[in-house]
Amino acid sequence: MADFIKKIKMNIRLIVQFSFFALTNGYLKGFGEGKIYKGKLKMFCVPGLNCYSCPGALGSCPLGALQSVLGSREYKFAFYVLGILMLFGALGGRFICGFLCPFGLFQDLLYKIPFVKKIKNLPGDRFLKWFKYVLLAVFVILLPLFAVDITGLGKPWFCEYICPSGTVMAGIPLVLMNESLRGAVGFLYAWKVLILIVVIVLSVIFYRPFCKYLCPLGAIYSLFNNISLYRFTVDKDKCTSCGACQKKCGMDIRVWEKPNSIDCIRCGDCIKICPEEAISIVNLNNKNKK
Amino acid sequence: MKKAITMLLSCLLSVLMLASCQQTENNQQNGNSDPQQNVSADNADNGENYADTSVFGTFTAKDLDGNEVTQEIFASNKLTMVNIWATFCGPCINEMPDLGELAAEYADKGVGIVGIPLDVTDEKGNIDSYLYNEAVDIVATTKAAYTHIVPVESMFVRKLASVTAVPETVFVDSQGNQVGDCYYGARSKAQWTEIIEELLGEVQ
Repeated sequence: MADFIKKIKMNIRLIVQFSFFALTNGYLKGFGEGKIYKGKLKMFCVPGLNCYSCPGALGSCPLGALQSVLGSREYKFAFYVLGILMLFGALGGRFICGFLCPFGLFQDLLYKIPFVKKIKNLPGDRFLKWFKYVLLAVFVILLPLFAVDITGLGKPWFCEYICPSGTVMAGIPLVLMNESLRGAVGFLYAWKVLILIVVIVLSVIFYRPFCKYLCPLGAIYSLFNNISLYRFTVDKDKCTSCGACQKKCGMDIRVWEKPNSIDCIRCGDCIKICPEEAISIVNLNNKNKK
Repeated sequence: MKKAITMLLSCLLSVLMLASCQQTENNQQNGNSDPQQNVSADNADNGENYADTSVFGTFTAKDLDGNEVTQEIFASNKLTMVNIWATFCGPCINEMPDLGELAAEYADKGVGIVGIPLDVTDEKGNIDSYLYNEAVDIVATTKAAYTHIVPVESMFVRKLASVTAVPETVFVDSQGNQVGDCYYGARSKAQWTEIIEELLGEVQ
């Protein structure tokens, strides 16, 4: 029993990722019929990059909801979505990326595939990291707001032209299961699939390239990392600046200097590897907890 | 131990969530029915002694201008293009100017175009006045100056409840029977012209 519990503890993140995915995308009837669930639960946004149009999805994607409202004729500001994002952000920041996002899980699994060389960062990492904020500003906010048709209707630019999570969770299953949709497949679909393939290939070699360089949702949550309820702290008395945490860190963060970096997805690998047990999760009692 | 209990509770929660979701889905099912099942019902209503195979059946509705529309609208043309759209649908709206032009060009060739703004009513045919006005504005802005039918419940039962994505376009002959495939997604004016010409050949 003690052994089993230890195994659960070691893989708790993977277990949570899978369980949460089963919870949020458990609409098996959708997969059976090749249809999208459109019931009342869709009013709620799930925290990760989880496409509304996935046949199994029970909730909505916060980015999709944001673009949808900003692109609508009557609303130019999305109070509800912003509120939900702030709630999620304030609670966990990029904990969501590490534990609750299905596309994060997807990349984690891809990185486990054996490959000749495993590299942490793409070349140009320092500049590429800011690209996700550009995507957020342009494709999620500005274009839906201002690139409108003759009736004043905008569209979800990020969903339509970029999001590989949507392609793998929704675009591909829906087209596979609906012969009628195949007639609508054209250049745009090919473009989206190409983006997905590139992300997949990169994810085998590099760790979570989409999360690091492209994800606008991660960009939003990253702004909360310094102030969220769930955060890390480094005990300066114990830390020897050995750098073991950075070596282990998939996001390549100098954890001992910046335990709440905007790149941190809260995977907790640094906590496990620190030889001095200097890193820990801050809890409300202000005591260091494992 | 604490973590194990937490895990077990989360799994229990997942199972309960899934179970309750099945319930919601069943409630929704009651509204939809297989279009084919209603053929005999129509027979009983109309005393027809042949199976009604038309896409929309018999219906009494109004268009966006308030004029009465029935299935007889199809009888006035050899071929009618029925374009199902929605006020929230960008691609639908983008092709409507082209459809307006096509309607004018084919008016004297026995081809008509009819629009159905799907989201203007609920599945019982109750009109949402905000969306109704949106639809009227959109038709004016896009100059899609053909008949747009405000759907009624029988049309949902017959066909519209099974429309999962817009725009969906079906062609019918003068009896309201389907000609050609269901066309999903928007197309260019040139593509629609090609399809119309092809199907016009079939109904001659």
